[in-house]
Order: sequence, then C-alpha cells, then structure tokens
Amino acid sequence: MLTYVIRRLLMAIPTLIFISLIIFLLLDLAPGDPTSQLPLTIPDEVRQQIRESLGLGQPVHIRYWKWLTQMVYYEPAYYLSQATGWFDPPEVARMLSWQTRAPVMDIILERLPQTLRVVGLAYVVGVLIALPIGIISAYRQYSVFDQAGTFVSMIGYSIPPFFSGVLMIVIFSVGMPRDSFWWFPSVYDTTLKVVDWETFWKQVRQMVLPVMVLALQTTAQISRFMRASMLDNLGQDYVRTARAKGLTESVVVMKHVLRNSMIPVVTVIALGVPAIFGGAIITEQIFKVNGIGQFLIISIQASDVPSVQTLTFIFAVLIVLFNLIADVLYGILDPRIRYD
Amino acid sequence: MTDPRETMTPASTDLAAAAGPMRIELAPVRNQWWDVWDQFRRHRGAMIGAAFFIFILLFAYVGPQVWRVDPGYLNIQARGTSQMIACFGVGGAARDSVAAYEAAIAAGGAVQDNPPRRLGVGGYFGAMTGCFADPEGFSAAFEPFKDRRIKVSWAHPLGTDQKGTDTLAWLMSGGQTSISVGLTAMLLSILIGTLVGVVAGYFKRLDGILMRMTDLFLALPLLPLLLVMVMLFRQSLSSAFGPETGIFILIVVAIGVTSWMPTARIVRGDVLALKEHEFVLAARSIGTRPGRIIRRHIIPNVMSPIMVAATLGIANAIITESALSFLGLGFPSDYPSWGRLLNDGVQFMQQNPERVLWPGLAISLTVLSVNYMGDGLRDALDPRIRGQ
Repeated sequence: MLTYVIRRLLMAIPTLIFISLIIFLLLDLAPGDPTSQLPLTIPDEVRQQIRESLGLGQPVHIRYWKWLTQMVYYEPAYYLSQATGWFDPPEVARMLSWQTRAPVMDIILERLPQTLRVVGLAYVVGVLIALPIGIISAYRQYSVFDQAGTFVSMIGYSIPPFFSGVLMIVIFSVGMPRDSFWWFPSVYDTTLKVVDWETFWKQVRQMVLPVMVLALQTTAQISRFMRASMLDNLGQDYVRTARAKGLTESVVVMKHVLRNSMIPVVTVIALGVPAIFGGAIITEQIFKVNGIGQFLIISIQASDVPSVQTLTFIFAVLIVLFNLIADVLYGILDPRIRYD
Repeated sequence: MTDPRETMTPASTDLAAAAGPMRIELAPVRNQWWDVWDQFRRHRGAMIGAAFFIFILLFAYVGPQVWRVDPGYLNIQARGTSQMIACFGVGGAARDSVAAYEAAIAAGGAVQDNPPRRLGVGGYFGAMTGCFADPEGFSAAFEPFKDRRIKVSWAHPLGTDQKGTDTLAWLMSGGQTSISVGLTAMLLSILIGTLVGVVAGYFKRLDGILMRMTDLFLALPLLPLLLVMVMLFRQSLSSAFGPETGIFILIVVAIGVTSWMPTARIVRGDVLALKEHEFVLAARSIGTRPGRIIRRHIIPNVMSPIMVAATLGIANAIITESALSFLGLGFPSDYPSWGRLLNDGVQFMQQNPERVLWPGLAISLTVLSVNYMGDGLRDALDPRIRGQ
C-alpha cells in the first residue's frame, strides 16, 4: 500500500507539471496588458518600466521556471519559516497580485476561511442529508419515497446554482417581509465577528441560503450513488445469509449492507471535494461571499495573471490530490482491492 | 430397457405431427430502432421530457413567427412593465389600501361587498378580472399609489426590461442561442470523444498516450480554465469573425474541448470489448482495412452509449454556457442567451422578479427534460431491459 501511494505521488508530479505548463502558457498568451488600465497619459517608456517591474520582460521559459519554483518551493518555505522560525525566510520577493500589489498567497489565505466555512459546511450538510435518503430509497425501492427522492435529485442535477441561488434570494430575501423569521440576508457579511450568541445567530442566518444552494447539488449526486450502491448490495447472497441467521432487519441493513455500500460512496465523496471548490465560484459570486471563487472571478476580470495562475494551479493540485485520496481510501476500505 | 432412440423417435414424429397443421407465426420484420422506440415510449418521464423539449424547440425557433415583436425594439413608455401574472396579486394589493381599493373598483368595476371598504372574494376576483380585461386602464388607475403601483399590458405579457424591450421576445431569441450552443457544443464534444475513444480502443499503440491525455484533461480545473479561455480569446475572435459569430465559436469550442472525456472513456471500453468479437475477426480475416472495420462494424455497435452521452451532453453544454454567461464571460447583452438574460435580470430582481424567473425556469426545465430523455434512452437502448 505504501509503495502504491509513493508511486502514485511520484506519478502525480509529471501530471502537475504538465497542468502547470498548460495553465502558464494559456495565460501567457493573454492579450490583456496589466498596464492597459492605467491612464493614457503615462509615457511609453514608463509603461515599459512598469511591465518590467512586474517581471514581464524575460523569456517565457525563465518566467515559467520562476513561477513554478515560487509556487512549490519559496512560498511554502516562507510560510514554514513564519510559522516555526526554524530558518530565515527565503531571500526571494513574494509573488504579488497585479491588482492589489499584495502577495497572492496572503490574499488566498485570508479568503480561505470564508470558503471553507460556507462550502465545507454545505458539503457536510449535503452528505448528511443524502446518506439517509439514499438508504431509504434503496431499501424501499419504487416506493413513493424513492420516486420522490429520484425526482428531487433530478431537480438538483438540473437546476444550476446560478438559478437556485437567485430563486432563493427572490423567495427568502425579496419576497419575505424583513422582520419575518423566514427572511434571510442575500449578502454574506464577511466583517461579522462572532463574539456572542446574537452575532452567532446572525452568522448562522447569513449562511443559510448559500449552504442550501450548494447542499442541494451535493445531495442530488450523493443520494443517487448511495441508492445504487445499496441496491447492488441488497441483492447479494451474504444479505440472505444474514437474514437466514435470524438477524434483525436493522442489523442486516445498517451493519452488513450499509458498511459494504459505503465503500464506493466514500470515494465519490472524496472526489467531490475539489469539484465543490469549482462550483463555489458561482455560489460565492451570487451571495457575495468573498472567498476563493470570487477572488478568481475578480482576478480574471482584472487580467490579474499571477492570481489566476496560482488559483487555477491550486484547484488542479486539489483535484489530483483528492483523486489519489479516493483511490487510497478504496484500497483501505475494501480488502478485496489490492494495489500491487 | 428401451433404446433411447426408440423413445425419441415417436416423440419427434409426434412433434412434427403436432406442428404440421400449426402455422408458425413470424413476427413481421422490423428495424431494431422500432423496438427502441417502443421501449422509450413506455418511459413516462422520458416521453414528457421529449414532449417538453420539442415544445422548447418550437418556442425558440417557431415562436418568433407567431409573436412578431422585435426583441431589440425599445418602447420607452412601457419600460419596467410587469408580467400579466402580476394581476393575480391585484386583489391583495387593493385589499390593503383604501384608495387602491377604490381605484380597483373604478377601473375593474369590482363588486362592493359588506362591510364596505374591504374587498370580499367577489371584489377580489372582480379586481383580478378587471386587471386582465383592461390592464392599461388598471395600471393608470393604480399609477398614483407609489408602493402599490402595478404596470401591466397585454402588449408585453411577460413584461419588459428597464429599457422597454419585450421579455417574451428576448426569451425566444435567447432560447435560440442557448439551444444552438448546446447542440453544436454537444456535437463537437461527441465527435472528439468518439474519435479519441475509438482510436484508443482499436489501436493498441495509441491507447496509452490517448488515455493518459484523457486523465490529464480530467484533472484540469475546468470551470476556471473555461473562464480564462473565454477571457483571453474573446477579443481576438470577435474581431476576426464579428462579435456574434466570434463569441459563438469561442464558447462552442471551449465547451467542446473540455467535455469530451467521459464519452472517450465509455467508447474506448466498449471498443475494447467489441474488438474481441468473432465478427471483427471475420472481417479482418477477409482483409478488411481497419478504417472500414471501424466504420462498418465498430461504430454502429457503439452508437447506443454515444447517443446517451450526446443527450446528456446537451444538458451539460447548456448549463456550462449559462454559467459562463451568468458570470458575465459569455454572450453579450445585445446577443443574449438565457444565462445572460438571467444575469441582466438579477439587478432588477425586486421590481421585476419575472426577469430572472423565466430564463432560469427555461434553462432548468430544458435541462431537466433532456436529462429525463437521456434516462429513457439509456433504458431503451439497453437490450437487457428492452422487450421485458
């Protein structure tokens, strides 16, 4: 198992290098010029100096190498030295965002908690709702509950987050009277600090709408997987054996069938984690959560190449990492699968 | 002991005698696609989905012939008109305010109930029917009441935007954009996917590299890359092909090259299994060239998964295009798709909620119907389910 993990990690390196190259070259073709937003009165030579100060004068392969080493070595080293104090921070300038002139990594770390709070909670909520729905749907196949579950998950698949989010705002922020319990804020206030019960309650209320929108999609996908996996296992011989032994239905379903059915579902849950980061781009935009997804959008609109490159690369790393985690989890949970 | 052959013989003659007068009923020869259609027809969700999809197609492409309003025509006086459905709320509005109530009676001739100064059920329906019968007069009567203002007109049954253009006409033209992007992007994605899948499955030497490439594409963060691609190439393609064609080509290609991977994987798996069948061996043994084997024997046999992937691909393409347009990186406002209409309507959500509801409903219902069609098609094309 360990050798398998090591081999997969080694194989991930060329994949990530290739992806980083694609991302870098794609953005390098950008006709967008960082100085195009500056006033026209700036003379050309000053403009050229600004470009060079942003590191644009050098050939492509040198810039790529600088960016890559910055991403995978200098930035982590900087944070490691900040956190532990074991060694001095590297003598290399931080990677700066073109729009704010602040280090890209600092901005990302600043915004990460918002994303994790909203998106992470939504994923947990979605999974927690999906699992019982999937189990009951499979156990009572073709019942009214199952039909309703199928329909709801079909809706969850079909309604894109930019419509469900707007619909939620129309219903709960616009349609409800302001003092009603069912009124929820449509704008996520990041400056809110949770100090007492009142602010905690406020925080909960402002998270309700984005979490609902994201959880609907998660629920739709995971509950279908759970149902299919349970159905596969319910027909197996070991279930008949367990029943023949006289075990109660709850033990048969919750212990025997559920444990075996969870194996593929757990890997699907792991695979969904990076996708949720991607899906959160739209949801964060709608509810004005200033998380990572919204940062990507404003960076794209401002032609802020370093930020876009870094964010896209982080998304790619997450996808590769969680693919690996899913495969390893499969091997750990299912003793029939051995990676040699 | 009797000889087994002796006991067999009478039995067989009996069988022949019994079979003699009987005419063997052969089912009429029919195309297998009729069987598929029969199975498809039994899937209720799929049939409703197909009917709705045809309705949406007619709405977008034939609708403009019936509703002959130019979406670009500005009717300044009608700007901010609500949809006619708002008339259902008129009775409620009149109930809350005495002056509005009197205006409602004056305009719609609503019945006065006891106690006076409150609309009963009769008055409620009176106001409503009055609103539907003479929306312009009704709107004029309500004009003085700032908070209860209602502006409706049969000239714009779904209302107008802030410039006074007709929402229904925009919805039709937006549908044309969304659906044609969905269909074209799906075709491109299926084409690439089938090509990669068949080549990888059939030619062993190319399998490794093509599948590695597929895995690589699957590891790419697609939505961010799509956004980046659109941002980078929009300007240059717009100047090369004109703003409308340029953005269309860009979005179709961007969606096509980022969504072929699942199709390629499915097709490759099927081709790998098909290649081992005897009919392929037979074809090869009489000297058929690989290209002809693929066209004559392989492709027709992988048509089922391709068709299912194509159906679901339409849904995926429509959603992706709407997401891009919603984020402001897709079609421009003067050549909108449903996603763009939704995006434009968000600012005016409070006054005109119908401007977000209708495009959003159109996207969601189209995708839902296509998904149900895909579901039914999958069942209909599965020979294990078909004919049960």
